[in-house]
Amino acid sequence: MDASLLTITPGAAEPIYRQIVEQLRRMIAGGQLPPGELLPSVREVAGFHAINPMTVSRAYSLLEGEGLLERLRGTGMAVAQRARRARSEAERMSLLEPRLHDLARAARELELPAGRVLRRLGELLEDGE
Amino acid sequence: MNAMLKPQIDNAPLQARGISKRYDGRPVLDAVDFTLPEGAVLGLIGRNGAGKSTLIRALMGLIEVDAGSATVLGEPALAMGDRVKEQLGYVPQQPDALGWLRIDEMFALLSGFYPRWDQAFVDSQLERARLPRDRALAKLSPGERQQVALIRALAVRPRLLVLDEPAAALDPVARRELLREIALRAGESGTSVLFSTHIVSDLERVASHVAFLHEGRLLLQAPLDDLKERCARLWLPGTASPPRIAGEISRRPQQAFGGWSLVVQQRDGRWPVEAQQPGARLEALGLEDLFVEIAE
Amino acid sequence: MKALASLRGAWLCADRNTRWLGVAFVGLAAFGGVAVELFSPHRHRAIYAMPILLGLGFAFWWAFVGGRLVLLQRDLRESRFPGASRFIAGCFGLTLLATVLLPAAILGLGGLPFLQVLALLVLCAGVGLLWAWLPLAASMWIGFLPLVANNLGPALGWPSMGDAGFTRFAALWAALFALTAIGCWRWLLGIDPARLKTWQTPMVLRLRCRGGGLSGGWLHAASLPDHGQTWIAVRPQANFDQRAKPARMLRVWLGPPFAPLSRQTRLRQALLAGVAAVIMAIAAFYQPTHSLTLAGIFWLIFFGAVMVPVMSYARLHLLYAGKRDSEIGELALLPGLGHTEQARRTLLRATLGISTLRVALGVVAALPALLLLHAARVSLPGTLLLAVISGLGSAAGMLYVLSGHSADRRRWWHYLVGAGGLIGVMALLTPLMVYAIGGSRAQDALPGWMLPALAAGWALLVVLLIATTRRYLRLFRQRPHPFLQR
Repeated sequence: MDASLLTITPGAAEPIYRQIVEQLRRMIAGGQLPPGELLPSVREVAGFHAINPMTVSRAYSLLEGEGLLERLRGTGMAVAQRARRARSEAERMSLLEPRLHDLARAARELELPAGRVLRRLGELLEDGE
Repeated sequence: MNAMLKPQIDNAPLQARGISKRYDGRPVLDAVDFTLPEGAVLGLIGRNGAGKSTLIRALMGLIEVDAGSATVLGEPALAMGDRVKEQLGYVPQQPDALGWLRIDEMFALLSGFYPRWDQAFVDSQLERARLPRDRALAKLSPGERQQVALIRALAVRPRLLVLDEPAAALDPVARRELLREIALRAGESGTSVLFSTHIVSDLERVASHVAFLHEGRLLLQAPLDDLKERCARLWLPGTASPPRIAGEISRRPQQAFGGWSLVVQQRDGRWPVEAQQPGARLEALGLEDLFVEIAE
Repeated sequence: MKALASLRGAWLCADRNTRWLGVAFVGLAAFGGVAVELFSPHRHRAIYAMPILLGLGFAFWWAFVGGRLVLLQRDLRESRFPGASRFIAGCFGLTLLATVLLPAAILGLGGLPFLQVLALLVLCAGVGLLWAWLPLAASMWIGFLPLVANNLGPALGWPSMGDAGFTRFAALWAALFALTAIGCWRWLLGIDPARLKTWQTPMVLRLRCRGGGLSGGWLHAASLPDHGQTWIAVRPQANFDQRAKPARMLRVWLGPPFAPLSRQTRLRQALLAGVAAVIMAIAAFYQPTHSLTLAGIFWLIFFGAVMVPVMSYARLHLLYAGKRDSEIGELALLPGLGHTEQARRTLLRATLGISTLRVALGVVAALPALLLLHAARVSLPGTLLLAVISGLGSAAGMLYVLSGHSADRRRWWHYLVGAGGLIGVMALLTPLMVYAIGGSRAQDALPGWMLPALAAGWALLVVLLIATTRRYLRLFRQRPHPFLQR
């Protein structure tokens, strides 16, 4: 994996380490990062995005604690063998939950009818396929 | 020798207690307590004239303060020994010293004073920034001058790096380079960094800690991630000023919304109960918004 | 309304200190004119002292205030200010009215030949303007101009004031200077200062090096380091062991006038001093008692003895109390200067030590010239006394800065004391020069109480300076470290 695959938005309300954690979680759950895939070193990520290396290692440690990553002796971090791609749909759905909350709030604020929003969401999901 | 062998637990690289300073009778710093933890990259943020430069200069022992004291790497700021100075990199807001020397002469003059001077770093950085060695410092543009000063501060291989508005005169490319250098230094050499800025996005990239200075007082000092996770904007309806809330940092009326917006902090991992009131709304806050809310 | 704006422009185009210095200078000139008229033994010549002295005062005004109108015009043009040229012309006209037409009319009513005075004052205005626009190094030579003219004049058959041909003569020269000034003005408007070498840069353009705009005082400009890079002695080399000679290193850091000089610069300075000495010697040989010889010598000694302390003070003040935290801040954090007491001693050596050494060297270098001029009865003890005053004055001024006092704006009245001291020195100097050069004739002309009063004055000044120096040395020693800024 390459450091450029991560997207960092420093100005967001979400801390940078969380942004990294969320993205890696999604990519592992979605299978873009198969078990055994080597992650870029802390230095690479920090250097590429000009961010604090401690932030990156914090994200990595967090995922290591969750069992999604494992530390390889001498070569760095890799996606854990146990981190299977297809976990339950419920699990994957929970990863989407925060974004759905955001979306719901925005729709409420704009006073849009639920049916219209859902229809549009459906279109977008079908377009992607 | 003994002091070096002892574990240095509470020996933060920079520490200040109760610093106050007045200029011509006007208070600039008001009883500021400040700590830079070991290995941290601390962004000092505040509006123009908030006292950032004065605080930095007081921390470095460049000025005498009216009250309080500061220590740098364990020694009093006003009586630093050579051992401390050798491990210190400092870039003032407008580095305009020694303008009559050429770039290479300035580096030659300085290199003799620092035992850990990294000439290879100087050479590579001058090359990369395309700075001509035989140019007099006074003839450089402010941005180039700042770059030279930054190279000089980093060439010392400092244990403590203090930068006063380092990015102000730099172009976006040089600024990104600087942030990268700061970030990697902190990560790899364990350098502790203090830098002041009013450009919040710079700070958000590299800072591990953030301190808000407003009208001479330090309003907040916390790890950046904690701040983002534990601070939020609370919207409260109603024109009357709401009663004081536990964990409140600032408040101001919002006419358009017909209510009040407050910056609140979690206490013991919980948001204030007022957030559950009907019509109240809690909103995540970026650092820039936080800054504006507090400083306005 | 427009006239009022122009008046404001003509007054505000220089910084506050320079403006008031100019007013003081003109006032002093007028005072001197009155004094000469009252006390001079030659009454028929003495009436011309007033216009000549006033002319010198106004020349000073044009050099340091009026000449800056060109800076103002540059700024206005750059900011595309509407009607800039008309506004500047108004300022210029008002200054001309105040320094030429008005005084000439008043003196004319007082019985002096109006046209002669007018021509003289125009000439002085032209000289003043050109003074401002010469490079700094050349501008100090303007002080010799009256002397040179006075020595060349008789040889070339120039008329002096009061002669029949003077009006035409002065008008001719005035026209020449005015034309040159106009040419220079146009050149100064168009030039890009960044492309000039330092030695080419007119004094008026250097006034804005630091601080920008119209804020920089001319003393600060004079104490700015030269970027021409010829004066510095040691170009720092790789592997140059700075720790071995901390005082020398510190002098590089402090810049001129403390920095070690290159052989080239020393040679140039010696050459300048030599030329000055030769001019003085010729003048003293041909016209040993002439008032302009006296003025020339006064000028030289004034420059040597008063400007050195003022310049070192100005430079240190710029470093310690300026808004920037450049050199002094770096020195405070530089390892290798030893512990605080060591650094303090090194700093004293690099500042007070150097200025004292320079004064002593100046005296030694001037000794042959002084002996040579002994024919003209230049007082040796007087010169030595002046050297002592100069050295002590430098020490007191520098310690005042080093102890952190110059940075405190609430002590503005200290400046009044300093200015009073400077005026005192000048007041004490003038009769001394009369004694020294005028010989027995001048001594007879001065009242008998003058000599003891003078001696008492000098003694008081020395005592005061010693007390001040000791006080600020003590305060300097009490500071936590020697490189503290405001």
